[in-house]
Amino acid sequence: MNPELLRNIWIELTERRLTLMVIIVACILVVAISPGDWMSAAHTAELVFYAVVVLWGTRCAAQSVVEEIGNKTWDGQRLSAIRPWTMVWGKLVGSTILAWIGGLLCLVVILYQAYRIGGVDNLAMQAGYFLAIGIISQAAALLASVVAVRRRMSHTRFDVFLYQLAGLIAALMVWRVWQTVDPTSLFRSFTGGVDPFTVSTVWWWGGSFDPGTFYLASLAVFLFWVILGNYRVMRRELQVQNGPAVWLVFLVFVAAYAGGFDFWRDYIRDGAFMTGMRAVQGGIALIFVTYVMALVEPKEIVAYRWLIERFKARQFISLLARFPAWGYAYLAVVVLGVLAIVMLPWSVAERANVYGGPMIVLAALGFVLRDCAVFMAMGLGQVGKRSDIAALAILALLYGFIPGMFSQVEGATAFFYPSEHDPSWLNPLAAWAQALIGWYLILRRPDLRRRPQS
Amino acid sequence: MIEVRDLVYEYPTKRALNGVSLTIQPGTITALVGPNGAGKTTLMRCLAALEMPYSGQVLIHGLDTRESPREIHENLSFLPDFFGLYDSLTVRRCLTFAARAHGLTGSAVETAVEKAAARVGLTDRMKQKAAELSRGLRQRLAIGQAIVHEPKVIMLDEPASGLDPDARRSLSALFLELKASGLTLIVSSHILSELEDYSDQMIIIQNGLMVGGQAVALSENRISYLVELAAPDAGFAAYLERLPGVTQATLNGATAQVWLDSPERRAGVIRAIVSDGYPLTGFAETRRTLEQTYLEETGKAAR
Repeated sequence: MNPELLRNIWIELTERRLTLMVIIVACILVVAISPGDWMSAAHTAELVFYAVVVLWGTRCAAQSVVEEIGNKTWDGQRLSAIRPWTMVWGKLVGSTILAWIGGLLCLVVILYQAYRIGGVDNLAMQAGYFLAIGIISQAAALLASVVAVRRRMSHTRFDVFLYQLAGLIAALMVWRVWQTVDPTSLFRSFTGGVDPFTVSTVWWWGGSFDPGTFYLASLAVFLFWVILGNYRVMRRELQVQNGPAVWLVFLVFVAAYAGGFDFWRDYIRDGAFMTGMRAVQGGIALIFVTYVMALVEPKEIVAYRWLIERFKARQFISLLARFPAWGYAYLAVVVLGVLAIVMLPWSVAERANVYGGPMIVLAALGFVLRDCAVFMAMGLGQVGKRSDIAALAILALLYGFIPGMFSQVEGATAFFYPSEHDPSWLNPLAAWAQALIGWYLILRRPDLRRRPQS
Repeated sequence: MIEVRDLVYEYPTKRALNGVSLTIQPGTITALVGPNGAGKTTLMRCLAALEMPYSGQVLIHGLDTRESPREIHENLSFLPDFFGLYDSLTVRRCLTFAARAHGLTGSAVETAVEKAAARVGLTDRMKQKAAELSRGLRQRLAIGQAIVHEPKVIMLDEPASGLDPDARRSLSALFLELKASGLTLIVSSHILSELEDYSDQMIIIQNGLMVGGQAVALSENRISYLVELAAPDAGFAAYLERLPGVTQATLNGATAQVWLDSPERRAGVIRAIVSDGYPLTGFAETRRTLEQTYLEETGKAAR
């Protein structure tokens, strides 16, 4: 048996805890079932499932590594021969095992009701959804905590809550999307059966898909990526080197997934224009990935000094092997940005109902690079949350407060975010000038340019 | 064998290790000493593949810490200064987890657990929870966890802190026993007298560098003899160096210090001195302490 799983079982599944969990959940379910209204009982079971598996399970997952750091046992784990994958699933299943036992009791009621109203097909769909939301939320919380561990942050209870929040946000997204396709959903039970976001068909890469099947398939793929993400971060934490190949495949997946949605199929007929819009969609998704990684990746002076040295020594293979994930994500944004610039029509008239064109894309590339400079300037050499908060505050100023102050000045917003202006070159020029100045100042930092003495 | 080549480790504003190169032979005990902040713990963490160096290479039994950290951990243990235990687990479960986490399976686990518990004197406390143990017993349990899978290399940072004199003596005996069974030990401590009993060589780390550029062998030249005459004799040291078995002799007034290639030579040397007519008034064994060696080596480096 996986030693990490076994250790977690020893700690988590004590007789007392197990008995308490079973009694409490069983009592709630019995009370819910007793009036004989199975729909209402299933909704109660669903709520208990979310409370136990999602709310408490994410807390357990977020704590699993952090608690070991607090108890000074994590170095022992890092010194063990447990392989990264074994560690990931040992922690993911082991730390949440008690929550899952409570959740499985709820699933009995939920799936019985699903079978009653929709047969085996509905039962399988519901089982897939509930397992997915549980595992995705817990895996996201674990991922957030291990990423934070790599940054060597101190871990207060509030920090653990933030890691848990990552799991809860993932769960909320999964839940909300699922509510749109589930006719018996909890959401509809509160809105009288109406869900404004319900779609009858999902259009993706020119094909039409049943929403339920599409969302379940998407969930399965995202589940795969979040588990793989855990594995990759755990590898780094256990000192096993990661090459960039998997990350690059993930970036291609994100671009292809986001770019595949045919939002414009009723407006755009031209193939090149459509390709340009797909590149924009994929690029926007990758910009989100770039920001997330620029925020959460460790920004260690020594690591960046090492990269600069490799660059100067023209050791590009070594450089690319340890190139930061946000850097690769930005390069992917640039590739899609260039594709969009080439494919999108330059004339406003040709763009019909679509806002923005090549110059806005060019400006967006500059602003994203500028924002990465903000993350770096604030985060380099810092280990706490303050640097993240400072970076986010600066971005809030740049995108909200300052443009608001100059809202009456014509053309002023060109200096702050991608927008259409006359002359059209003003916006990209302002963006790239800020980006280049920002990066020039960062690369001039003495602690990046000079190695310390002993 | 442990090989370290030109190891550099940097913090943002300090170079903790500045090109350390060393070789540690298997089956030896190496004392790692140096002032606070010298880089001892960083060196140990690099050797244990817990930290990746800026440059340089660490090979543990031929495996590179950059390429095979998890494989290295199957045969290596490191007990940090500040360690933790799973407080809610019993001693038996702590040892069982440590054994399984290092790749032991099946019946080998139980055998290893019993053996480790016996070695650290915890056999009668197997059902006790780690949280219920005293500080000394927790230290023993941590050492038990470190040796349960019988690694080829064990590194210990301040292993005797918190132990009473009896426990320290048993720890020294345990180290010698582990060494006798072929293990390589690296022990870091501020208390030099503690390292005295079992160390074969000493590595002094100062300002991120290895003092003297190599390990100082401690087994050689540690024991010498003071030969006292009734009156000073300027040619006495040269005379002593001509005697069979004498490797070195120095003179200070009427007292000479001699180093022999074997303790068995003592009788022959005394006999020769007396029979050659020197007024011998005393012959006593003396040991150079680790502290003296440390001060000599760091003094040389300062010069």
